[in-house]
Amino acid sequence: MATVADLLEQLELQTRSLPTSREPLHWDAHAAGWMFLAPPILRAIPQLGLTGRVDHLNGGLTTVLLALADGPRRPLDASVAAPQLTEAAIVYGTIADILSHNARFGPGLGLGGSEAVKLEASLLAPAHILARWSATDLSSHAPARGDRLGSRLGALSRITEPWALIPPDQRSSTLGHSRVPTGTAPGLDGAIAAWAEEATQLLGDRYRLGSWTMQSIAGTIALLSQVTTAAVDEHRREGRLPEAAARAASSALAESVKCWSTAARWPPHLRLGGQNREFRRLAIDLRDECLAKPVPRLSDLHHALALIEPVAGLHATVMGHLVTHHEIWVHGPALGKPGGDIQAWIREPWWSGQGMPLLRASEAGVAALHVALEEMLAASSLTARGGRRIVPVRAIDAFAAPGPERERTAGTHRGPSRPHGPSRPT
Amino acid sequence: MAVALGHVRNATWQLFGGSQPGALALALEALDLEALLSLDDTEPAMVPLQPDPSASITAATRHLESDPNSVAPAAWAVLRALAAKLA
Repeated sequence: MATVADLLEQLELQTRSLPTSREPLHWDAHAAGWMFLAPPILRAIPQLGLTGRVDHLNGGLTTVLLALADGPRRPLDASVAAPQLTEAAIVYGTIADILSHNARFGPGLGLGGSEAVKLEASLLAPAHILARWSATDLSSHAPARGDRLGSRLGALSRITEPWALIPPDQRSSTLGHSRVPTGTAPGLDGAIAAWAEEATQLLGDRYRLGSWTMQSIAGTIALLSQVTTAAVDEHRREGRLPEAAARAASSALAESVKCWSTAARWPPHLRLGGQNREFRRLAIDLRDECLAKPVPRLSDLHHALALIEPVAGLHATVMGHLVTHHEIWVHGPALGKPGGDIQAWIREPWWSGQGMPLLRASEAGVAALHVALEEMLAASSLTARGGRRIVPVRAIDAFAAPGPERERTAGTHRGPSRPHGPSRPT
Repeated sequence: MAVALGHVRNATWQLFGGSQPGALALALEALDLEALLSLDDTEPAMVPLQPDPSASITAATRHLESDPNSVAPAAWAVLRALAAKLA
């Protein structure tokens, strides 16, 4: 399943391979292309949840993108749109869908703040390159035309330039892990999405909930935490995660394993009737994916843990209800003398608290899982800073220099573009 | 069946508390077996705890083999696999 980071990488690849031939595209191709491209960019930015005076700060950007989305005052054939722009529009649209989905239903990867600003930069840097490419192409095609499209593209390239001056490895965001969970996806992604959805439904339905389900959920969280611990340790040993951050994450994950194993360890004298065959199948699928060889990617495990966190919270809540309302059944002799001489399963009396250790373990597990996710986020954030090596500045250069300068190889031209490209209005 | 289920529940409890590698995965397998043995929500019997999970599964197998017609065929595969892994 593609993550936002995967899509951004694809976007950067697309913008690096924009054609610089002397056969310019038709004016309509650019106009129609931007009518496709501007709306998804407009849709993606607000989903980042940036706080503060963002409306004022992004006012110019929004205005120019709205104008480009409106297009000319005449019908255009969609088929003439520049494929470079429509392909980018598809990627932007997918990113906007993921951000929109996660903002509403997502597993709280933490929108807003510096990570959102970094993602905004990663979204607008390719937009700068595309605007500059279009503007350059238009000016070489009809330099005397002086139409509004050219000036709008020039404005967009100026507005987005500050983001394009930030090297990719300084704007890698932890929000890049975002993706849309879907149960039909292959591998761990699909298994965890289907499992989490069914577990959430079960935990909200007291008539389908039994001790088996509670144990299965807790045990699966423990297993996933354990597999992730092993993956983090392996990454640390191989130097792919910073030592201190990885150790902190590993320690928190080990605590999660301990807590959730205890939460799953219902003593034989406690039970709650109920069965769910569908959930059993999903639990087996997820267990098999966790134990599959090769081991799932650390980013996939991180995402799975993020998806599981709300289920863990719900588990603790439901456990609290079962224990405090004495809904768990206990085998009579386990109550000792105060229970009398009952040799059967009975609903736990009001004075008994046999399920309390399970509840405490579940609550501690929620806290441990939360800390583990925070630590993993910190570790992956540190890694992201030095992880990516795509340098779109070269692509900016390719469209910045006028005339024959554009024919130079990217390798011989370094540093940011000079602000005198042909797209700039005089 | 109730006695066999009791032994499997004991094994699950023992495995979730185990510290040996792979105990967690085995505990989930035992939990799966528990589900297969109580498809009609059978009430488990309280049975004496065996010294280790392997002995609990052996005891469960013994009881199930005495009345194989009441056991879901799918349970045998899980039971054999679990017994082999524990051994």
